[in-house]
Amino acid sequence: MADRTIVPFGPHHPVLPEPLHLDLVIEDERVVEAIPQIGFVHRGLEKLVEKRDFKSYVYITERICGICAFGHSLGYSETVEALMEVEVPPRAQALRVIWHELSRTHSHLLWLGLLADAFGFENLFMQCWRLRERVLDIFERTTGGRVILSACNVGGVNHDIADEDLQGIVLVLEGMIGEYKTLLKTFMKDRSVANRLRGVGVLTKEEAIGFGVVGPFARASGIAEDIRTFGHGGYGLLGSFEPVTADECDGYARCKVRGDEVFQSIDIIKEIIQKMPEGEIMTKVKGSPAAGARAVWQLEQPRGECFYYAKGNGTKFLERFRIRTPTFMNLGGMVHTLQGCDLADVPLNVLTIDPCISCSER
Amino acid sequence: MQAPAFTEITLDQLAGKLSSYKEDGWRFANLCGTTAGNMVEILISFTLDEKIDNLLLFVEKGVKVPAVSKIFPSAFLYENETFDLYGVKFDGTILDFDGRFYITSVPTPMNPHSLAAEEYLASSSDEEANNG
Amino acid sequence: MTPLSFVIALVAFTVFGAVFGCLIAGVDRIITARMQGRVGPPLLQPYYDVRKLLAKENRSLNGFMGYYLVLSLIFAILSGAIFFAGGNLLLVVFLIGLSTLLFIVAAYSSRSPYAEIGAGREIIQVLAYEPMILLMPVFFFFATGSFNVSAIFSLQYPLIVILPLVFAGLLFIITIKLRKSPFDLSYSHHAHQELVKGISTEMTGRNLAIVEITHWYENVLFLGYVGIFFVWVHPVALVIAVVVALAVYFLEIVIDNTFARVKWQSMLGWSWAVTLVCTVSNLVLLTVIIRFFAGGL
Repeated sequence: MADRTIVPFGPHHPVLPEPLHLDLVIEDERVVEAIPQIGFVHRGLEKLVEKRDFKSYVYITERICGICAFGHSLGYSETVEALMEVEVPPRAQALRVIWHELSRTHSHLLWLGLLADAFGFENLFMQCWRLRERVLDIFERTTGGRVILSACNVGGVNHDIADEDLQGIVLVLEGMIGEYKTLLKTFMKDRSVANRLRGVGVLTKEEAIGFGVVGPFARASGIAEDIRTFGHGGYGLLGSFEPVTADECDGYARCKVRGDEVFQSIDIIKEIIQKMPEGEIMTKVKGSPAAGARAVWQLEQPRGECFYYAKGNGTKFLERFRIRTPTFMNLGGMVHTLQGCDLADVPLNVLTIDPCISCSER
Repeated sequence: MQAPAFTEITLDQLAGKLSSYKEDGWRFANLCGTTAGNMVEILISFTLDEKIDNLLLFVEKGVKVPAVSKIFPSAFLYENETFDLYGVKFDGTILDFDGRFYITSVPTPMNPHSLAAEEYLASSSDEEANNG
Repeated sequence: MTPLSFVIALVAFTVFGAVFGCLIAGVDRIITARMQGRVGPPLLQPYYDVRKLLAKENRSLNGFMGYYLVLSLIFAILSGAIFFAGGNLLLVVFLIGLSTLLFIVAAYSSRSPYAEIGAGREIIQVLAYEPMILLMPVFFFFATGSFNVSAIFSLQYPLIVILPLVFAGLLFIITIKLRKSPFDLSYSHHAHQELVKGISTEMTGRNLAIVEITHWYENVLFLGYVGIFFVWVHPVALVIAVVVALAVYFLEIVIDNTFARVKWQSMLGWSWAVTLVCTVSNLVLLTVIIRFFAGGL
């Protein structure tokens, strides 16, 4: 029988973007068993809801994660608005969609860079992140922050975007498309890249449904589910929306889905800017959530469906706020893809779910 | 949008509900706890297309809940989390971290009425009595 | 190669080999950075890194690792000295192989899982390039009638004319030896791979400085392998050889920046396929040339 080594992978590891620990039982560079462990960045942010009133808590939700920052503040605001039955002005909803889709663009570009880095193609990693800088510049111009935007709040948004800035956003995004197409072509067509991505981390459609995975991870296995099709909030302005799916069920398919979603996001932003409604950007919220009121909300973040639950107790502090992040849901599927893979594929399997462990552990 | 449904159930109805959701193809979405007085309110959410169904289960101190992860495997993370933060044990969860999932400085930080929290407070007050 | 020429070459290589290796490494980093749209570090950055590493406290797991690495360095210097003194090419190849072997044993001596897997991959890398590297002196003998490197100075035409396919195979293999993508499986200059830093994971401080310096000497030696194909009696030959060697190094940097890392199965398969095709076809070519131009085998 061959010798088995136990390789402790993480939590400090240069190839992992987040602290995740995997005990890999290896036999000749093949993973026989993988036991996950998270919990290294648990900050108890859900307990903090007892100490920060519901209007200030939005700033805590932003700081759960650096990449999905705006997404969490948006999800929180929409959940509390559902809890207190607040009507948000249409212009605020449209602005929220613009910032959220920009978040999705920068998150996917970040992920593409990390993927390239994981299979040793450092040049591609640098080019992807260089392109991402333009999206961060848009954030800085419109909200003053590159990563933590503090733009969304219960009842609407804090900042407005002037018309010439809106046109400026369209120009920047259209300028990015040419370079982005070249980058994506390298991911999709290059032979050495395909060597590392094809057939890696296969999760069939039945397995994906059984594990209940969400987001691009699920859409790459052929499951056409996307919360944006339900048309909540500003997404109702869109004419039509079809989720991007792929059928290969492997790392290549996940790369393709996220790569194409960037094009889709840019199209959504352009459509929303064209249909931008006029009006106010904030509804004043008075009072507190009613005692015993409950609300659930779903939001399609870059990593997948994020599920929020809020419960009020009559005071200005929420009784409970639960954030169920997409990575928390995808970890089960990820551990399944790790069984029986090559050691060289472990970082790719971990990265293809787009892990955001700091979101998952709050 | 159809309003999400919140249904209160009892412990013995849980298994039946879980199998019927699994058969009808619902997707498991969430399992979390909330402190409700002396009890813990467990919320289990399922989604199917645009519908969201939420089950509410009120659990008293020391009661064990049959594991959801036997039917919906990815629930094992939620069950470990609920045990670490609220002290509610799920019987038969498929990968059990036995309280070491999140490294917290006090046991069950989000539920001060749980058994573990009471034992901790008793032991720390004993220490104070011994040291003081 | 006389004892005197060997001693001169030893001293010269120890000094100039390190200087040249350091400068090449510095230029490598700047060119790589510019290709990636960055500015890059100052030219002497590898020297600053080594100086910093030498000043660190010794924190290695066991005392043996240091001895193995120092021996590895010594054999690399000896190998280079013999090569540039015009000595026996087979001896050069074996000594540098011994140097690599000591590097692998140093990694195994640390008993860390990452270092062990990295060392395992390094062994597979050696298996991948060693056939070509061993056949190169054999073809050298066919072409010049001697195993001594100094024989190239009495050639009427450069080796590239009759050994073009061996040169092509050597170019492929040099990518593995210089530890560049797509073949930087066991030791990558950037720790962005699944084995943390692969074979040199447990090497820190003075040990890592010794590894860096060994790699400088090795790089100069491998560029020497490339250069000997372009030397003949002509007085300008040496200049041409140096220029070609530097051009090949630039080509390696370009390849590094345009390929992802491959898995060891592909590397082994491709290397052996390339070795087989290049050596067999060059053997056929040599037979044809000798029969038609030199009148009989």
